[in-house]
Amino acid sequence: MAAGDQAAFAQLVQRHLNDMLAFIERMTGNRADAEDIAQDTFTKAWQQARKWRPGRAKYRTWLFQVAMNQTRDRWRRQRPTEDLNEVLISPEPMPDQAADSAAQAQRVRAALLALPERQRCAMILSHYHGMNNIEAAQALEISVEAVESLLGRARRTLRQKLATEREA
Amino acid sequence: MPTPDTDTDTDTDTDNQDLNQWLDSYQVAPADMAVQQRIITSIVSRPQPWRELLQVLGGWRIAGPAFALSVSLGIGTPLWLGQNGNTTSIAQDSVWTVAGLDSSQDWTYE
Repeated sequence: MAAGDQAAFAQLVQRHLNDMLAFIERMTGNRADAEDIAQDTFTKAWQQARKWRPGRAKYRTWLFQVAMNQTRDRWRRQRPTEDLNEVLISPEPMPDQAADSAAQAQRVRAALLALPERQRCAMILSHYHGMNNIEAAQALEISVEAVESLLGRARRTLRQKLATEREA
Repeated sequence: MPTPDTDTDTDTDTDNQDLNQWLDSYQVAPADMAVQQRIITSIVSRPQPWRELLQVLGGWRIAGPAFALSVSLGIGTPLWLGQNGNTTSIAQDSVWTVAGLDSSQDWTYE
């Protein structure tokens, strides 16, 4: 990869694209944006391959870091003066909202999008991508304790949403 | 040592399990081949810096012969000058004098 081997790059895209796309889509709540940001992520990874240090983090963790930075860059470019969370809470209309499972997925999506950016990121990495706290800390470039705190707050908020949903 | 509150722990575990199930209901579709292909193509077709330079210089057809000519001139000219008895070399003493570093000269300012 660092040597600029294009065949290796194609293999890496095949291996990591689903992961990156799912991560970005859950972060942004928008499929079209996620595809564009995923492309930017792999382009950046290709250009900055030399910056990855095998001893410091797994390639996958580093790639999540790049994806996160690209997502933030996109938000900054789209609406530079608005709060990130305001930008995000604009769910796309689901084609089949009548279906229970789709409606439930929509509610989870909205609940995730309502979380502050770092809590959402930690939650997505931990729950959907199976990262332990050490890996999530590397991806978020914060301490393990900070990740634990973010996850604790995120889970508490989401549990409250779930409880409210059940009461309704 | 205090005994752990088993009821609370069980509640928390159940809550966590429920939350995990709830979160699992939100799945996203995998990438389709078109997206994958688009990303790979965007990189593969991306011009490299030296190729961009080559394009600016007019491509291989123009830059190639121009480069070959400049190399030939660079090698050939000194050889040709040497054969004709011309030389660009100067004596070491002269260099020192020209540079004004020759201590044997007595410089005076008027």
